[in-house]
Amino acid sequence: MQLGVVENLSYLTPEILLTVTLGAVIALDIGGPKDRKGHVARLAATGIAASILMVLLTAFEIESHQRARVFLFADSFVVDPFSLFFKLLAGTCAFLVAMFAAKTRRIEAHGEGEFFSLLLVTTLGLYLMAGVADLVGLVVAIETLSIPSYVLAGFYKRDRGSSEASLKYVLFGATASGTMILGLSFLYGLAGTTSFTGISSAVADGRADVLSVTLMLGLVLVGFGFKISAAPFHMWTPDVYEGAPTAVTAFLSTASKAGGFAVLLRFFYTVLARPEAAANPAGPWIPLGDPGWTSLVAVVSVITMTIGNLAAYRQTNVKRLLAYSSIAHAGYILLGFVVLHGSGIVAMLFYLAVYVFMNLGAFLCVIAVSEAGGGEELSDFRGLGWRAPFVGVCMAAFLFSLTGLPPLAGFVGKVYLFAALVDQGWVWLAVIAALNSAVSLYYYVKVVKAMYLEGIPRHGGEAVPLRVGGHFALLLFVCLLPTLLFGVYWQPLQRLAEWSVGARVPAETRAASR
Amino acid sequence: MPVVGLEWFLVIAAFLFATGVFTILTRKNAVSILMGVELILNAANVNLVAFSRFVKPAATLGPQSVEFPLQGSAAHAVYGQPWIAGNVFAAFVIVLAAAEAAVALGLILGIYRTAGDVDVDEATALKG
Repeated sequence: MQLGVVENLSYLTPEILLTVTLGAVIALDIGGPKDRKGHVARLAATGIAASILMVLLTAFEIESHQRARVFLFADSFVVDPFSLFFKLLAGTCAFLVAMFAAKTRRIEAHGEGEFFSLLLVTTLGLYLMAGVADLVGLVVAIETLSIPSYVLAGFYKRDRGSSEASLKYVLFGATASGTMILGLSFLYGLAGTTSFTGISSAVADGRADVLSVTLMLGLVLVGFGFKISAAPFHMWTPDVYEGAPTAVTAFLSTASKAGGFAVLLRFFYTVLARPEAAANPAGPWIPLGDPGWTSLVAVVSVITMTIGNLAAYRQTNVKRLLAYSSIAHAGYILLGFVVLHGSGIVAMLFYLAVYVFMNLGAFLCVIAVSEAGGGEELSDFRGLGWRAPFVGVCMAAFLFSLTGLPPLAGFVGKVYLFAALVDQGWVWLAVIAALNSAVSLYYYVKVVKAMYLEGIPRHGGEAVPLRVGGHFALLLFVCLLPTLLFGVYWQPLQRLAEWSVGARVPAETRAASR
Repeated sequence: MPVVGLEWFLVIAAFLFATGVFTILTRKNAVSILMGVELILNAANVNLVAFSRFVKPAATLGPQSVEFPLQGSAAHAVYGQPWIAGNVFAAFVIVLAAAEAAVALGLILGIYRTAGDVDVDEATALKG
């Protein structure tokens, strides 16, 4: 069956919807009524919500036709459960971040129109990243995400920290993507084609030398490592996360990172590996040629989580602490990548989905505190548990979930990751990761201790309460719900992750395994 | 006279890349670093165009083409001749480099207005 242009476009409705919303946001910002406070934010959030709906509809379309995947535009773009999972994740993040930003006064003062149009472009970039299957498309998608992100990081133009963050981000980012593009150019040269599957078959039948391909993938890994902030390409992360507006930090640490993992998985698992049984991507995978790259990624993952956890120790700024924590989490998530088994990919997707909610929630608490008149330093969080009880409880839940304590969602995510490792014989790696999460407890508890045990700042004998708006409380609840729910009833999310990997487990075995 | 082969271009590209990396690592001025990045991107472009001229195109398009054969489609006009893919890729990279440079220069200008300096060693407001 041959897909015409119109059929191609019908699978791209989420992306088209985002683009249309982008146009509408710009038009409203330029030509709308003068007194349009909040209109732009509402329009952008509605557009993103509608695109999420379209992603769900596309999922039903694919399921009802029993198609494993649909290739669009000369095989350069693919719509499959895997891409839909990441679009869902990116859309949810973008929606929540848009809602946070809508009530951030400083963003309003710097121009809502610009903020939300840039946010929509980054979201579009993420949607494209989820589905690329071609080197050219890969570069275009990554840059569609990156270039607006640089501007978003420096959104507070007159602020020293924000502009410095954007400078560091753009210089690191441009260098990383330049190196990546060089690696991709060599891959094209080695394989003679730009499509992922084409390169993969060139590797498989020996037309492209495996060692050279692996070396070039090292260059490509620079670009991906930068996006997911894996060591040694993590140096930008703390500075950018601290300096950027908190809503942007929340976006970069969740959606942008998830997008990085999406291309990482798609790229490596298409080019250098294939499922042992073609019909069962949830089973074991075999590497094409030399499997040395899995050990390389294992080492990167260990270094990443260790650096993140050790550096987080002495941080006194909560945003910076969460930045190091997000580096450590990139290390944990990479664990699922090395096992070369469908269970590893499922664990990664599961952990990413859980991580998105708990990390967004933690950053949302930071936003809520600073919008209520507090700050971003650890000392500003003193007595938070008593001054703003709901925010305190939420923050504690998010931090404990990030640590991986039961009965929260982060615990289940880690169990899946470690179980996948142990199953495939990577016991030493699982031990290091478990030690790392034990170490991380220290700095997460430091924040909780400040919130509950270090007294309450008083003004003339009176405790100063923080007035957190209902809008933030509602959003916090939206992040808290999955963090708690997936800790005790995670099967739906696990089934979603399995579906995304392409597992088509018959209904009866699925029921029996639970 | 020696025949100008693929190696010549790859050596030039490698030289451009090395120069770019050296510039990025040694220069303190943000604009100079950006120039280093442009050198890296142009190294990739030289590679792409050279490969596109010299490398034999892949015979097949990969397994997925069986499901949706591309013969006769507009896509086939491009991908039926895979040797053009390198040139297309290079054109995309040129456009992206321009976009990246525009944004980076804009941000550097913003820094210059707040800090009065674009020396990356002076950018120390964020540390820890």
